[in-house]
Amino acid sequence: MWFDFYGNINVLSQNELQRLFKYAFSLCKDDSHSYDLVYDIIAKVIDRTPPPETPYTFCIRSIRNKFIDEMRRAQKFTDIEFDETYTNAISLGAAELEAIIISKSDFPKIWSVIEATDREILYLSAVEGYSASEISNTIGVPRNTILSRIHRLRTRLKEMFPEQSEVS
Amino acid sequence: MTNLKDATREHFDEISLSQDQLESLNALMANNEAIATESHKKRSKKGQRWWIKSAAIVAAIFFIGLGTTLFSSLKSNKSSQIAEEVTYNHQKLKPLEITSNQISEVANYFSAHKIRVVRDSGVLDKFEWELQGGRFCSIQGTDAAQLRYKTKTNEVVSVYMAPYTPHTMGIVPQVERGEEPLNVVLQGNEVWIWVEQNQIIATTVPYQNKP
Repeated sequence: MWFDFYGNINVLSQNELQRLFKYAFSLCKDDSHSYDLVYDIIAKVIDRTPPPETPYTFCIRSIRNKFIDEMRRAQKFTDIEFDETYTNAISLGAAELEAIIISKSDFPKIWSVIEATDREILYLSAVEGYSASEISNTIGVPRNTILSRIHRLRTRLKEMFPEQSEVS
Repeated sequence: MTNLKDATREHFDEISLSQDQLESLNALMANNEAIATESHKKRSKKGQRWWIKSAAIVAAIFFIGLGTTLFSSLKSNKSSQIAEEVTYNHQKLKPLEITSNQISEVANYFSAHKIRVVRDSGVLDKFEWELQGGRFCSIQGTDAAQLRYKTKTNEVVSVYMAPYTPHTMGIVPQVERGEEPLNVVLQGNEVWIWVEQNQIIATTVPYQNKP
């Protein structure tokens, strides 16, 4: 709980803590690492003056930045820049993810091979129910980049499972 | 067959903070809440006499100066960094990865991950602390074991052990050569750092439980 300059109280609810943890998990796929990310960010945020106006969104972005920093330090992160060639090919946005039909048994394989940035979008879209614009606002990445990533993901899954006509 | 979003949703249904993790996060926020509430009350309080404020400022300067002097007594900057690092880790009180009061069991857990725990430290053996368990951490980027103990008065003590590498950790006293451990008081904890059996060992002890 924080008091801002005007004495307003900002709270991270239990539900928000769980959601932050799940978001962190979507990035790093590891329970302990997710917890560390959430803990470190909350520890930093509560020392912040002035406190953030929207603590939850602030934590999401901070977790993301910290994770990317860690991965860059470990040289495991390759940022995917927005590719203009996809601009016209993408119009469905997050709804495009619903068109991707997979076998349930393939999910662990998909989850293990796709990029952290793809898992992040999948999580925000599927679990949080965010649109591409909302994802963009939440993580601070341009909407076109989000759309491009969704399109790339769909293309990649088509390559991974060419036998599945449903992945269309 | 299912769509990717449904499969993702199903996957995340099974992922959540454990009770321990949730309690630690709540404790972190509650601790801050107490500080924030106190600070808020102070801000709201009217009519404080100017000399109380002045005395507080003088006291703060005195204690900062005292802390700085104590801290600068550490032999090297790297030791200071280690002291800050272990204090930070100690205050986080992250969940234990192994829970046991048997040093052999805890040592075996870490040895399986190539971290050696000093079981018969001449310094640590002087204290009657009760082992609680341990978790992985790091000291200056080197993988380390963090052991957690409780004192007789139920206060938490952390002990860190990692292979001693002078180039990353600086020159640290070696008790087997008769040198005294380094010590500093940081954020209400007394930190002791020394080298024993080629391992750097650091303890974070509540200040009143000085070894």
